[in-house]
Amino acid sequence: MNAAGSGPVRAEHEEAEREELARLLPAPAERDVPSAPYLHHKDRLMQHIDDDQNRTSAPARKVRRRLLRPALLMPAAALALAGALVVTFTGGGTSGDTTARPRETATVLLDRIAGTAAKSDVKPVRQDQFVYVKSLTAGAEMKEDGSSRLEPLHEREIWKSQQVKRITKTGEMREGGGYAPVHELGGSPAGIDRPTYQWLASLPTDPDALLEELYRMTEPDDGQEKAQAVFDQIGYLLGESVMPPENAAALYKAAAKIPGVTRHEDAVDAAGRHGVGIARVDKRAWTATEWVFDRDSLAYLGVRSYRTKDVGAGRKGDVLEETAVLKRGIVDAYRERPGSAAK
Amino acid sequence: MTDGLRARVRAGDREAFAELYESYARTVYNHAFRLTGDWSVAEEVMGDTFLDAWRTREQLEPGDGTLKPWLLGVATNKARNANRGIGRRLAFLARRPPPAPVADFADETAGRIDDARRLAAVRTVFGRLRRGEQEVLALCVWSGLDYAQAAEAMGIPVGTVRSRLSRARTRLRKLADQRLAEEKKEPPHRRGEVQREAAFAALPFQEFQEDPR
Repeated sequence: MNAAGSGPVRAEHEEAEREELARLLPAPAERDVPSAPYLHHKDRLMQHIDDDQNRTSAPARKVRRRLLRPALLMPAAALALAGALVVTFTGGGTSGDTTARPRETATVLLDRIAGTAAKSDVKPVRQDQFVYVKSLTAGAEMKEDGSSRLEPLHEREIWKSQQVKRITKTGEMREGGGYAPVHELGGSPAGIDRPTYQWLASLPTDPDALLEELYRMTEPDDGQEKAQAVFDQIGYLLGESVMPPENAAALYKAAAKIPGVTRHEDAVDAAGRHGVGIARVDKRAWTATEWVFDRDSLAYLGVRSYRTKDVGAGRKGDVLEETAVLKRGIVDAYRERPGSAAK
Repeated sequence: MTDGLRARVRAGDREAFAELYESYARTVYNHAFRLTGDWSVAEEVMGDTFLDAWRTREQLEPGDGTLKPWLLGVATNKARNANRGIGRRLAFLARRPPPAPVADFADETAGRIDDARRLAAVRTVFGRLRRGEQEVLALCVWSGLDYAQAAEAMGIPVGTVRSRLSRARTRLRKLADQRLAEEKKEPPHRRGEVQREAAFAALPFQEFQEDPR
């Protein structure tokens, strides 16, 4: 591909092409930045510049670096262990078969997790209530060449509307200081993309029927395996939601039936908590999604995805996204937190 | 544009960043909206873009060219990130075409319904393009960068910009042809003016959804 192309003929062609494209797909109408956020972001920028210039070793920066550490260092460790520790599971009533394959150990673990989930105590959630989830999260910014840069870990709180009908404001989010509404253009009813308690409660509790339903409802991203998309979908449904115990159990049992699911003896979530992992590698995209569970309580701790192979400038072990769930609950209003009145 | 803004930005001049913000906040905000389909996400992307510009100022190439490609490039990366994270978790519009939105603008005025429908239609078509094509189209056609500037913004060769736009055009032409074929079968709608203005504006959503790529 040559980078030249500034000749007059080229320029004319460019102009014609752009004009045609503009005719085919006109730009959406422009808007001014509303004045409050305009000033807020300007202040934030100026404050940031002042902070950087006034302080050589700002305390805030030290904290950030400390937080980043586990995120950057653990995946390699997790990967190394994952390779070494495909061992027999001995704690859950298996017969101690030393030839057990990884597939079996993941299945046994998922069954145990499902059993625990089935016994958990979840009160039904009303439509006028909100699911609250507080998490520690970071996503990587992807570059064209495959390289990525993980943003600093930060806290996020989200309030999710439980209305079943189509609504345009689906929640609120607090991330990096301010509250922001979550809007969906055209509105969104409860469903696979907006899994409310009631919608989740309506799913089949038979794992086979549920898995079939999930395969039907899930669309893989470009270049992603369908099985991976379904595995990720289950993780998404389990991650930032509240549902009846029998539905959570069914989701775990369904996950156990997806081919390629493995068990990792030592997994770490974004908050640095060690536990046991359930993972699946997408052999098309060469990324892994790993769920982390507390070794004793088998509670869901978080999720992480990372590359399993060098791709372009992207390196094996690069973390693409990670989230640790810190708190989960039901509240009656936006900006209210479990166990406390509205702020 | 003030002379030497680029040099002052590279040097970390505080006032230069204030000027940069004042000149480009709106441009970045609208570009981010076109890529994410969500004004509140666009606002975050806009804010983060300028913070990132500050952090990466030393990597800026010297010279005296406009800073718009640089900022829109940063914003494009931010928006891609926003779409990824939130797209997966909260299922924003960018991931897949929304269900027909007809009945739900009940509390809007008639004019706003048309605006919203039109916007939704443009986004539906836009959503049919590949990510790379969307980005280049938004930069070159909607934000007015030339091909070389778009290449600079994205850090890709000009030839790649060209081929992506060419693919986008082919795709959009095909959709437009489908639409013409539909019109021959049916008498024109009452929304004739809107249709002339925006090729896809008044199109029923099913037409796009029935033809997955």
